[in-house]
Amino acid sequence: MSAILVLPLAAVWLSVAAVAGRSLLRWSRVEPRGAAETVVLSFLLGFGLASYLVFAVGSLGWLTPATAWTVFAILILLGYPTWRSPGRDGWRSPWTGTREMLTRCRGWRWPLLALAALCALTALLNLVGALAPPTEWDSLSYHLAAPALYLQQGRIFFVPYREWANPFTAEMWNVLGLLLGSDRLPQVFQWAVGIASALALYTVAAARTSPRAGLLAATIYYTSPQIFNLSTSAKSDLAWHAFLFASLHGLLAWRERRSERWLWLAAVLMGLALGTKLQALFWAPGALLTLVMMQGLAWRKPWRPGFRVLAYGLIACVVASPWWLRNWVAGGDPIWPYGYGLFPSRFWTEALAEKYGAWHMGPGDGVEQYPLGLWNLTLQQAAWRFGPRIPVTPLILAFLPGLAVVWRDIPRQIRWFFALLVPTVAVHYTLWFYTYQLPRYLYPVLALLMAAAAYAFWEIVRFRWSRWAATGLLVGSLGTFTGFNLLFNAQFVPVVFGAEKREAYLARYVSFYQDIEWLNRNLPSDAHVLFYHLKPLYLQRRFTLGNLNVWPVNERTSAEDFMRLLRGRGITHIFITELTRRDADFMLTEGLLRDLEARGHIRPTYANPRGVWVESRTFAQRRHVSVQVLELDASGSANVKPVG
Amino acid sequence: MRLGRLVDYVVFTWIALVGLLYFAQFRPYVGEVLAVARRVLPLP
Repeated sequence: MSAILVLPLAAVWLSVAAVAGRSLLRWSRVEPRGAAETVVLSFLLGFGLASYLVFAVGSLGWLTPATAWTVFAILILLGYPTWRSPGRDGWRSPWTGTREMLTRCRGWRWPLLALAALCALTALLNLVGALAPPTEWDSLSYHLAAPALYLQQGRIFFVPYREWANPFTAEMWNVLGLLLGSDRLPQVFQWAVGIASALALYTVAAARTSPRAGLLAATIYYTSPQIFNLSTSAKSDLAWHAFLFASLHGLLAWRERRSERWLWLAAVLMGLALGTKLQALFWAPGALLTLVMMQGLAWRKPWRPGFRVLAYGLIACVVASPWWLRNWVAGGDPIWPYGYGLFPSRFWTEALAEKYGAWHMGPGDGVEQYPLGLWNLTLQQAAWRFGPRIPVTPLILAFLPGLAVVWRDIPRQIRWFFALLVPTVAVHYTLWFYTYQLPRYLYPVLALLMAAAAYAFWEIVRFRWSRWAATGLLVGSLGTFTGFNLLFNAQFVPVVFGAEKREAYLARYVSFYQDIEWLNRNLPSDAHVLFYHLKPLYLQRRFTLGNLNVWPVNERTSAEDFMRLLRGRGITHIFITELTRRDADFMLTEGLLRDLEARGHIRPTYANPRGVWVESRTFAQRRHVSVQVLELDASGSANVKPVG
Repeated sequence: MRLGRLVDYVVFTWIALVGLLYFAQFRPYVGEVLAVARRVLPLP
C-alpha cells in the first residue's frame, strides 16, 4: 500500500476512534475544558476502545479483514451521537484556544510560536520515518511480529515467548494496520499516539502551571531522541505515556474540579496504561499514593477516602484484567513470565528467571548510585548500553535545581502540583532503579520532570545572567536534537518517496533479510521453521522461535530426544546463524544439532557465509555472519541412527 | 540584592557546567554522526 493511501486511511481510522471516544466521554458526563483536553481524552478513550474490540474478536478466533471493518462500523455507531451534534467544546475550538493562549502570553508570542513550529517540524520528520517499511528492532521482534502471527493463525492467543505475552493494547492497532493490508499503517498509528502523548503532557502541565510552561515541556519531550525514535516504530511506549499522562491529569482534575467522575476516568486510563505496558506497574503504586496524599485531612473519617483508593485500584485492575486473565489461564502467571516465583508460571524456568532478573542496562543498582540517577542519565550516558545513541536531554538536570531557588515565589497551587508529582516520580524511579534500568522505561517520569524544568526555565529567564545560559542551552539542545532527528529520518526519505526499492532498503536495514527471503521463495508452503533468530516479521512460513523456554534442553537430553521433539512439533527446517551457534546459552543445542547433522538426520540446504547482521541501522553498523538452513530428514522415523 | 546576584551567578554556572559536560561526553561520537550525515545527506 502506498504512502498516499496509508495517510488518509490512518486519518479516517484515528478520527473515527476519537469521535467514538468523544461519545464515551459525554456518556461518562466528564466535562473537559478546552480543545487540547477534549481531543486528548476523546482520542485515548477511542483508541483504547478500538484496541479492546480487536482483542475481543481476535481472542474469539475471528481475525479476518472483515473484523477490521466490523470494528470500524461499531466505532461509527458509537460516534454517531457526536457526529450528529459535535457541540461547541470539541472539534471547532482548537484555533480559538491557540488564539487565547497567544493573547495570554503576549510578551512571549514569537518564542512560543517557534516552539510550536518546532513540534510541527518534528512531527513531520517523524512521519517520514513512520512511512518507511518497518526496520526497528523490537517491532521486527514482537510489536509487529506477534500481530503478524495472529493474522497468520486467524486468532489472538497466548504465545509463550518472552515479550510476546505482554499486554498489547497498543499492538491491537498494529493488528488493525496489518489487517488493512499495510505494514506501515501500524507505525503511522503509533506516530499519531506520539502526538497525543505530547498533547497529554501539555494538558497536565499547562492546566497547573502556565500554557508557556506546558508548551515548553511538550516541546522538550516531543523533540527528544527517544520520542522521535519511538514515533517511527510500532512500539507501544507512546500509548503507555499518553495513558499515564492523561490518567494523572484526571486524578489532579478530580480534586481541582470537585467531581468524582474525573477520578473514575483517571482509573480507567490507568487501567489502559496497565493494559499497554507492564512497566505501568512502576507508576500505579505512586498514583495510588498520590490519591492517598490528595485526600489529606479527609482520612479522619477513613471509609470515604478508603473507598476511593479501593475503587480507583479496582477499576484500573478490571480494565487491565483481560490481558492478565489470559496470561493467568494460559501461562499460570498474569504478568508472564515476570511473576515467576510469585505465581506458578508455566513455560519458564528458575534459570531463565535468574538470567533475565540479573540483566542491567545501567551503571548498577548499588545504594550509592540511587541518588545519582538523573546525573548519570544526563552526564554519564556512556554508562548505559546504547545510551549515547539515544541521548537524554540536559535540560532537566540544568533547570530543575532552579526550582529550589525560586520556590518561595511560586504560587501555592503550583507548588502543590509539584509536590503531588513526588510520590509518582519517587516510586516509579525506585522500581525502575532496582530492575532493568532501561532509560526508556523511565521516560514518563522524565517527562514529568520536564514539566517542572520547563516551569523553572520561565522563572530563570527573569535573572540577568542565568537567562543567557538557560536560553543558550535550550536552543543548543533543541537544535542538536532537531539536527539528529533530521539525520535519523533522512535515511528513510529515498524509500518513502520511491527513489529506493523496498527490497533493497530492507536488505540494508533488516538483519538476514535476503536469507529470510530465500526461505520465503524456496520452502514449501507447509514448511515449519525452527527459527533461531529474534526477528521473524518478514518470514512468511509457519515458525517456532528457538527460545530456550520452549526448547528446554539439558545435559541429559540426547540427540534422540531432541529429534523426537523436533518431529513431534512438526519442524521441517531449521534457520540458524553463527550468532546462535557461538552463544553460550545455546551450547547444548549446538552440540545436539551437530550430532544430528553427523548422523545424517538433518542436512544443510542453504548456506550463506556473508549473511548481513545489522547492529545499528542509523549508524550503518553491519557485519557478516554465516547463516545456515538445515532440513530435517523426511523419512519420518523418530529413531536416530548411531554415528557410523 | 547581593544575595540575588550571587544566586544568579550560581544558577548561571550550574547551567553552563551541565551544558559543557553534557556536550563534551559526545565528543567520541562526532565522527560517527558525521559519517551518518555524509551518508544520508547530499553533502560534498
